[in-house]
Amino acid sequence: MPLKERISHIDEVRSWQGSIRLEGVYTAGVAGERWLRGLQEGRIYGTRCPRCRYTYVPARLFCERCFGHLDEATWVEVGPQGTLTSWTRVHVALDGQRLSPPRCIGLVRLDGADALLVHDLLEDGTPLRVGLRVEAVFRPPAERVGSIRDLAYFRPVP
Amino acid sequence: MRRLNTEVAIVGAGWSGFRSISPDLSFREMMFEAATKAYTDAGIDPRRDLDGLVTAEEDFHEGIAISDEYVPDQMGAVLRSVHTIAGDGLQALAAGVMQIAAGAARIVAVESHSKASNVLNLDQITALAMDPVFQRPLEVHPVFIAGLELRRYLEVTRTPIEHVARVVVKNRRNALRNPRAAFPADLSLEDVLDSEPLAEPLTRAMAAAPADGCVVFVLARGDVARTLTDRPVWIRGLGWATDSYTLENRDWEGARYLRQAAERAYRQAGIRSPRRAFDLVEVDDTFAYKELQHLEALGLCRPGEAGWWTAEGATEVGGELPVNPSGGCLGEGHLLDASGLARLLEAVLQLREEAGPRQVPNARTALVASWRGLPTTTGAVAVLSREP
Ligand SMILES: [Zn+2]
Repeated sequence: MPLKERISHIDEVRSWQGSIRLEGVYTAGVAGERWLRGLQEGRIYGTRCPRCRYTYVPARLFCERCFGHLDEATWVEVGPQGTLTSWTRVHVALDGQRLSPPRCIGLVRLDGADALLVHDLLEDGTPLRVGLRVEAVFRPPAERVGSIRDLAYFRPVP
Repeated sequence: MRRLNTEVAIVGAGWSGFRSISPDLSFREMMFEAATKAYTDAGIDPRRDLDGLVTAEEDFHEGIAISDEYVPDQMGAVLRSVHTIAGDGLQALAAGVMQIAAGAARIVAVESHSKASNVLNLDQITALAMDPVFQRPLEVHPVFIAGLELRRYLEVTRTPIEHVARVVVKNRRNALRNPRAAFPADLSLEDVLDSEPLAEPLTRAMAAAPADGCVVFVLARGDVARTLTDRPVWIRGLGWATDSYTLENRDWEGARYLRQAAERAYRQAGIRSPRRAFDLVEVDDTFAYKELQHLEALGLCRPGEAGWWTAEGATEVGGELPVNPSGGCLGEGHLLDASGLARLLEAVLQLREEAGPRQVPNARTALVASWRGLPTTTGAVAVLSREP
């Protein structure tokens, strides 16, 4: 970390520049792994709490409402169609730079689910509105790796 | 939670900033400046009188691991009870109040600060708060959450976007009369609506810009407070709550984290009709629509009313219920973890009739409400009064 003699406007005084490197892995978990494997097979699963009648997507091992365990019997398939609950066009990238064209993101309630899933939303010229019917589109099987991105995007139901 | 069984008052307040950048001062020096003001204001010598210190900060904002170890020296709190909250500053206030109520301390300092201008990639740091398995791989700027929530709010409450823009115009104008404010401005509705889009329908002007600053309060047990000052500000109720952190299962409409927090604070303060209980409100407005959504969650008006209320001028300094006379986060700048304490600071100054040109006449009670910011679902509420 060199002592910085910076010249841009904020920095008439001395400051030190440094960065933090933090690397790790994030365990998907028992339910998370099975859910991601489902995406790899082109299926979207949820777990339905029988007490709360609430279906979680992604599937979870526990219910946050009643604190119950969601076992094998609670796994259900949801979607692939659903309803658009909200949407936005994001005009900034993660580094703060302008994003052109903007990226369209949808908040989708899949059929059979209560939870709302966030993902890219394909703009095909259909006017976007809350309540629009949309469907999940997966990457080609050979490109799937067991990631949230195996689900490529949602698009308006033709 | 019932009534606090110990009276606790704010007996001193101090601050440093707020400014869009502060290349001259280190964060330690900002804390020293704010603490010196607060201790002078309270008439205490921290090395003699201070029992404990509670701070609110987040390692990733500090750029230092275990950064809570870095707080006592510049606060006069070496070898005292030190306690750091990873949360909003109002949660640190609650922890300070609890230490006094539990009999563990008589006098406690509460601190939080922002050195946002030192964080060269604040957007990426915020993005690291997203779920690493289910959201981070999407690599979207977290402001998308505000865009989705704003559209949902407009849809459900039938609020016109112009009313959201009106919040920005009001708060940045209020900031013109606040020497602490980093971003005072006289804007038109068009200026706000036509500023560059961030996450549609949210525009750049509807989002508070980060600022640097530090806020310190001195809390004291009731009997001690009375010996220290003749203008204590009493903490009558506190509440805080966190909704599901998942994007999938959180409430996208009514900020139920704040509704919960408010219910607890009102119960503690014995408030049944919040609508008529306060002379002013300082509430989180990190994004302009959040002020409207939060006013509704606080029970100050019905869902969908806050926009119309704002458009009618009811929340102006001369209106029925002044909201963010300080200028809020939009006008003062967003102080990261200290933003709740910035709201609290204005309420305290108002109740002490020290708010200068933006003073709300005869302010006796105030409501303060914070949100921990993107992508969190944590809110905190404090009820303040000139009477114990
Ligand atoms: Zn359940």
